[in-house]
Formats: sequence, C-alpha cells, structure tokens
Amino acid sequence: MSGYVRLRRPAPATEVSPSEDGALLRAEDVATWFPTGRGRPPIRAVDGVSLSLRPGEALGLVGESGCGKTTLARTLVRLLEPTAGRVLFKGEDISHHRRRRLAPVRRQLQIVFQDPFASLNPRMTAGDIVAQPLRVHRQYRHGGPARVAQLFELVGLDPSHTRRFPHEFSGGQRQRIGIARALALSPKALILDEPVSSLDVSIRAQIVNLLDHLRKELGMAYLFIAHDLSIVRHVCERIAVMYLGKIVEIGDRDAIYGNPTHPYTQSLLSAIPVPDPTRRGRNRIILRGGLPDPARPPSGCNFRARCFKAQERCAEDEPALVDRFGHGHPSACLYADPAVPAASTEPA
Amino acid sequence: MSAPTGPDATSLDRDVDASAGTELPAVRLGAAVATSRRRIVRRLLRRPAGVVGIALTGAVVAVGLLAPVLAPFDPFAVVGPSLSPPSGAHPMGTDALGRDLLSGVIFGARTSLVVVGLVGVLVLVIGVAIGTISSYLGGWTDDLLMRMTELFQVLPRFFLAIVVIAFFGAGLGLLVLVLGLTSWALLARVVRSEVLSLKEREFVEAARASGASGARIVVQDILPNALPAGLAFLGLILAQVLLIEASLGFIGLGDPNVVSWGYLASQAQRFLRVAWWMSVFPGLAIAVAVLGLNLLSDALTDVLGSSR
Amino acid sequence: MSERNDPVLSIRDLVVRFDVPEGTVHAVEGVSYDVGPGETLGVVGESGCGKSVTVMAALGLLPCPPARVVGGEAVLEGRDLLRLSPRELRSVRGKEIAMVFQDPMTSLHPAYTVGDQVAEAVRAHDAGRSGQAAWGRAVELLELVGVPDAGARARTYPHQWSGGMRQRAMIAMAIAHRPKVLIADEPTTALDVTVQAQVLDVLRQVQQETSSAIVLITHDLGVIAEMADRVVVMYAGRVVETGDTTAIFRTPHHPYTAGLLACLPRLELEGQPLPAIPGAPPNLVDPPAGCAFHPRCGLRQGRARCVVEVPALADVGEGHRAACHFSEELAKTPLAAPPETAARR
Repeated sequence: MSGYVRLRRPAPATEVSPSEDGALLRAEDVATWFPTGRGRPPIRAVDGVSLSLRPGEALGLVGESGCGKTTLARTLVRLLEPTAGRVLFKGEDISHHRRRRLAPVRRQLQIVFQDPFASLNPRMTAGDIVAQPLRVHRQYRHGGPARVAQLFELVGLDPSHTRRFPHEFSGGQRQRIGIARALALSPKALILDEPVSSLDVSIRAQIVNLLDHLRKELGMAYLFIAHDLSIVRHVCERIAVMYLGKIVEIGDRDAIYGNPTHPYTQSLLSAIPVPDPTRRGRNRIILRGGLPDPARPPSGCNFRARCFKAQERCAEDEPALVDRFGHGHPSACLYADPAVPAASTEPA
Repeated sequence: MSAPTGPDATSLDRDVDASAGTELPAVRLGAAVATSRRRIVRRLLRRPAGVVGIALTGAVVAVGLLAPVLAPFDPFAVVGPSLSPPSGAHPMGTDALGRDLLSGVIFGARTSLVVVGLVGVLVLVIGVAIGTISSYLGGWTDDLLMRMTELFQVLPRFFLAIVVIAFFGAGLGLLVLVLGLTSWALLARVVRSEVLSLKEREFVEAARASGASGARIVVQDILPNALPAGLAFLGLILAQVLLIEASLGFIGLGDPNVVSWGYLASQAQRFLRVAWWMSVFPGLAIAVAVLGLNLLSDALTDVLGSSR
Repeated sequence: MSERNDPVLSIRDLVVRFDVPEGTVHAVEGVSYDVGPGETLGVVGESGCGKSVTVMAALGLLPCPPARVVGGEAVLEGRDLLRLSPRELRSVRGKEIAMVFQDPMTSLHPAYTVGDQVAEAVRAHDAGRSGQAAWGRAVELLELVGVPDAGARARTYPHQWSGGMRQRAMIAMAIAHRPKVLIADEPTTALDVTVQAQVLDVLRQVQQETSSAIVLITHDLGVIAEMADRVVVMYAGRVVETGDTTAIFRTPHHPYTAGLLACLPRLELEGQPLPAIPGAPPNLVDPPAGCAFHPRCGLRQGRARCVVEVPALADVGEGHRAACHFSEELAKTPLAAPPETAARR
C-alpha cells in the first residue's frame, strides 16, 4: 500500500448525520487519493465523503463516471485504503486494518461487482467460485457443498450446475453467481457496484427483483451504486448523489426525486431519457462543459464551472453538505433551491 | 413453478418457467474463453498446425518412451557391415563401425526426451516462480528479480555450456542443470506480464474482498490463468534447448554414454559423401522434433489466447 | 403518420449467418424494414437480437468469413448495396450512407489530430479539395456539431477530448457529405446521461441541417421515446414489431415489446417486484423452433402454434405491424408472465 500522499486538508466540510448510533457501516470524511507521480497533484477520486448505512436499509449512491463511486465502494470494503478519514464497521475503525484483522468484518460486509464476466475466474467452476469465501474462512469443511447448493437455489440457479464454468452461463446467470458468492458468509451489509448495468434490459428487472427479495428475506443493508436513477429509485429508500469525489445531496427517495435542491441533481434528473414519447420536448437543463480534471478540482464548489447558477462566492467557499434553508435534506449548494430558473433550461 | 421438461430441459434457471438455453455471445469473435482440457485438444485438432504439431511431437515422445522395445538392436553394438546403406535389415543403414543407425536414432529420441523433459521441468518451476512472485509482490522485489532475470537472459548459453563441460566433464545431469538454469529467463518475463494484467482483474479483487490471502489468490486465481500462455511459450524454449543439446553433441561435448542425435550427426561428418544416410536421418529427426514443438507451441498460443 | 414516399433505405428479407466453432449462428433471420427520407427510425432490441449486424451487413462491414450474407437486399435509393462491388460500395459509404459507432474511445486514431481525421473524411469523397479547403470544412463541421472553439480544438489529439466531444467529432465526420442516411449504432451507450442528452441534441440538430434520415440503434427505450418517429423492435434476429413510436409505447402488440416496456421501473411500482420477462435471450446457434420468443412468452399459454409456425409480421393498426399469432389478445392479458420470485427453500 505504498505511495499514498500525506494529506494536508482543511477541516471537514461535511456534517455527519446525528443519528448514526447503530449505523452498520460509516464513512467519516473519507478521502481516497491516487498519486500520479512526483510533483504532480494526486487524483482525488474520493474527496471527503461521509455517509452511514443503517442495518437493513437500502442506500443508493448515484453519479456519473468519474464521480468516485466505484473508488468509494472499494474503499468501504477495504480493497483500498483511505488516504484520509475513517471507515467504521459496527463502530470499529477498519480504515487501516490488515487482512487478518479484517477477516471478521469480511464475513459481514461483502461486495457484488459490475461486470459479470470479469468478476468470475474463468477457470474455476461456478461451485468453486461460490465456495471460495467459505474456504477462505474455513467454513467449507462442515456442509460446504450443501451450503453452495443452497446458495445456488437462493439466487435462482440450478444446483446441478455447480460444475459448469462461467462461460457456460448467460450474463444474468453469471451475475447471480456473483451474488451467491457475496452471500456465502451471510453478510449483514452488501455493497453493490453497478450490479445490473452490464445486463440486458429484460434481465435487469429479474436481478433487481432478486436483489430486492434477498434484502428483505435476509435483512441485509445495501449500498446500491448505480448511474441508472430509475432503478435506484425502485430499490432504495435513501439516495446520495455524488459528483467529483463528494456527496452533493443526500436524502429520502421522495425528497431527492421530488424535491432536488442541488443544481447537479436537478440536471441529472432532467437529463434522463424518459420512456414516454408524450413527454418529448419537456424542458431540460443542459450542462455546459465536461467533468473537470479530478487532480485539479475547481476551488470552492467543485461543480461551479458547469453550474447554471454559480456566483462569485461559489469559487471561494466550499459548501458544506447541510440543509441551509430548511428544505428537509442536506445539499452542498450555497444557493440550494428546488426551483430551477426557466432560463437555464432548453426544450428537449 | 414447474421444472423444465422436454426439449427445453437445457434451462439453467430452474425456478423460472422458461426454457431458454444459454445465451451465446453470438458475435464475440476471438474472445478468450476458459476452456477445459478436452476443448483445448479439440480446438488444437482443428488447426493444421495443431494436428501436425501434436503428431510430430507425439511421435518423438512415443519413440523415446518405447525405445528399448522399438529399437531392433543395441545402438552401441556392432551388428552389421560398416557403412552399409539403408536396407531391409537396417532401414537407416549402419555407421562406420557397423552399428545400426535406426536404433541409434530411436535411442537418440530417448536422450532428447530426457533432456528436454527435465530441462522443461526446471525451466517451468523457476520461470513461473520468479515471474509470479516478481509481479505479484511488485515494488523493489520486482525490480530486483527482473534485473536478475535480465542477467540470465543475456548469458550466452551455448558457450557457458561448453565452458562448464570443459571444466567438469560431459554428462547428462550436468547438461540438464546448465541448460535448465539458463533457459528460464524468457519464460519468467512472459509469466510476469500475464500476472501483471491478471492482478488487476475483477475476479482477483473479488477474491481479496472475500479475505483470501496472497498465496491463495496466486494459486487459485492467478496461476491457472497465467500458466496456459506460459506453457505455450515453454514449447518454444524447449525447441531451442533441443537444438542446443544437439549442437553440443555435434561438437563432441555430449554425454558419451548415451546416444544422441547430435553425436550421430557428428559421426557422419567424415562420411558425408559416401554415407548420406548417416547425416540425413539424424538431421531429419532433429528437424522433426524441433518443428513439432514449434508448431505445437504456435497452435497452443492461438487456442489458449492470452488470458485477457 | 402520413404515408411515406419511397423509402430511402430498404432492407428486405436479410439473412446473415456466422460460422463459428460451435456451429452456425443465425444472427439475422429475414429482417425487413424501411427508412423514409428525413425520418428517425429507432431500432431497439437487446444484445444478440441482430440490430447491429443488420446494418453492418448492409454496409459491407462484416468480416466474411465468418459472416455470411445468405440472402436479402439492402436497397439505398434504388441500388442494392449487397450487390455492389467493393469499389462501388466504398464510394457509397461515407457519402450517401454513413455510420457512427458506439465507442468513441476507440473509433478515432490516436496519432492524428481530430481536425486531420475530419478533414480526411471530407477528402475521402472529394479528392479535388485542397488540404486547406478540407481543413476549413472540417472546422465548419466541428462547429456545426457544437464543439466549442473548434478551430483551436481541431489541432488537438483524441486523447485530449472527452467521450462526448469525441462522439461529436464522429458525427461531424459522418455528416461531412450530407448522407441520405445516418446510422447511429448505440451512439450514447458508453456516455454518461448528461453527456448523452447533449449528443442526442447534436443528432437532432444535424438532422435538421442535412435532412438525413437517421437509423438510431439502441437498447434504451428512453432514447427511443425521445428521438424516434417510428420504431422497429427486434428479437433473436427477427423484427417482431414496427410502428409509430407513440403507438408502440401506448399499445404494444407483441408480448416482447410489452414485456420490455413493463419491466422498466416506474413510480407506481415502488416496493413491488418489477414484472420481469423470465428466461434469457436464446442461443442463436440453436434457436427455438417457431416463434423465437415462445419460451419466455406469457401470452402463449401452452399453445402449439407458437412452436410450430414462425409468426409473420401482420398489420395490427395504421402503419403498425406485429409478428405474433395472438397479438389481439395482448390487450386483455397481463403484460408478461408473473414476476419471477426466488427459489423455494
């Protein structure tokens, strides 16, 4: 884990939710920076994220490519070490634990990856893939094969197919194998990194249903990461919106979709193509420009270069993730407002 | 929900009342797919290079293994008129002392088999170990091991072998040792580059997320995916080794206690004009073995693809 | 929808197969559709349905072998593209009919400036133009597709351009000669949703400028709803439904279309399972007999006709056709099979 930068950072710019007692998984001002070589600024993939996941809840994390959600996922599951801040699981600080000390945590916190082909070892049978966590934690000896069969059934796969290789399964089935593997040790929390994005539309619904069902059956908490907002809305109770390494808005599902106050959230929601031809021509917010270089984020608010309501102040003060105007949920905008000025929209 | 029946029993989704078979990635031409050993063999046999490679290499291996059974005579025994051309009794003729050449070639195959086989094992073990450890651990370990590998890469094997044999005398064991310890460098590099790319693959991350130790990941996840490319390359290395062994035999530095093709060829030098069979048959044997190994390696490389 | 004039592109009974070690892949099995002048035709389907292979075959872009165009025609303004010589085809590609591909990251040559590449597209069918004039036209085209500061940006290299910008450059190259038909194969799938909106806008703009017809291939029904005038729905190498966008969305007449629409998450379905289509798209080496969709179809209810007879595209409304034996029943039956529940334990 060499090569991480010594950070010198200002005081945390975010406010941690006060109701974190009993939070299963917590990120406290987590930052994960990647060094890019001597003299050059590091890439700030995750730049000060605080959130908490309560037992049994489904928290959605949405954002576009480059916003850092995948890096955050890997940091929370400790595939990466945070450069700053803390990751806590059931109150224990796991930010810098080594593999051995992480073992009990790994039994309770697992991850499902996006690409159903790349996340399965092509030369291992499906059964062995699902059994791997059991073997690692020495739980295979007593009733291992039975457990694998049970897991297959749980995710809707035929248990007689444990000896097949990944390439003999379809995309949706491979994703089920990945889910079965993640469930092997009966975790209490599951991080799902774009679990359905690589799948066909008709298969997505199957897997979403499966995930939903499993969560309720097994009482797990989900951190559901995706860029498809309609799916996130279907599965999750709370949503966090991420942009360039920071959370810009977080709240209940209805609050975010019905009453977004951050200009990025508003742009994101207005940009989603709606499968309803009668809604063509609705006004849309068109964002200017592209994503800034994550090694050189803009000063102050990192969204200001593309924002339709940026003012001078936005370049100076980094907005904290708080509810400034009593809208009901935190938003990292100095001028947070559910109303969008008509001048910043265009007919689609 | 009913279980699938009838022609739709290929369903893999038991609880879904659907009977769709597996979805074929229809236009994934050239995608690298995991293959069980049977499939590899089948695919090899579809290629002309594969067929010829397997045939030739297989023939040499078989002859070498069955040498005592196949050879009509003891290759060192004088059993016929000297310098007699190929005939019914001696299909490959006899040499200057009247020894049967066919038996010589057959036992020569055995020698080559032994040398190449043992060197192969040494090269495989050392090359894979160094390549894997170096790239998996990275950092200064990687640097150190790679510098060492480069050193071994530039060693002139042939001359080193000559020097060693000059000092310590000719012998099969020593030959195997020298060749084995100097031929692994390229294999280490190939394996290292495979492992480097495998390290970043998502299924390795998944194993880490389960809490698997580095050792387990290397053995279960990385090696099985890195070895195929390494094995294909090994074939090429061994073809070279075979040539070196033959060359050493040719200049008289082979083990005098065994027959080798190089030795037979060296015997033929003086009689090139009068006894063509003495040079042609051993030469053909060498060519067949080297060609077979090369073709097999080529075909294997194609079939196994890279693990990407 | 008013009656169309002669279509500018007409695909008729196209059959394309692939010879792979596992057997023969029936990628396209008798696909026919028309593209009217100036209209936007959406071709929607999931992976393996043959939507891309169809247009690639028409343009002669498939590697043959392993691909084989077994039959059919692709008529562009009276000329059958499948019967043209490679030379003739080259003179048509890029000029009368152009294509924009999915992945902007790999479609541009990394070692040439973007401006050079657009200029090359200009010169490809206009060899007489001088280098300077071609460059000028290239900058003009880049401005047309909304690249800011086009003159300066044209001198930079693809790796310095973002995905959305690169896609704009691809569009610029495609429209350099005002093609009659612009084919966009999943043009926004690799892009973020905010960038996607921008690129779709560019396509619309460009269509206004050049009056090209657009064939928009995608799996995203939202994009179809936003952009397409008419829709062709494909499944397992066949066309299963075609019609006006509004008609397709409001009253689908094929169970696959209906199933696809039903499985999209909607506000009203919060908390309930999504009505998913069970099973998976079929293996095209060994496709199901009769109607390719029958193993997954909730409308079939065990009837033998679906296994025995391939349904033909039949009229079900004004300009609306569907390939289903029982399409009239669709309105009365629930959209898809009951949603899948996980295994009994």
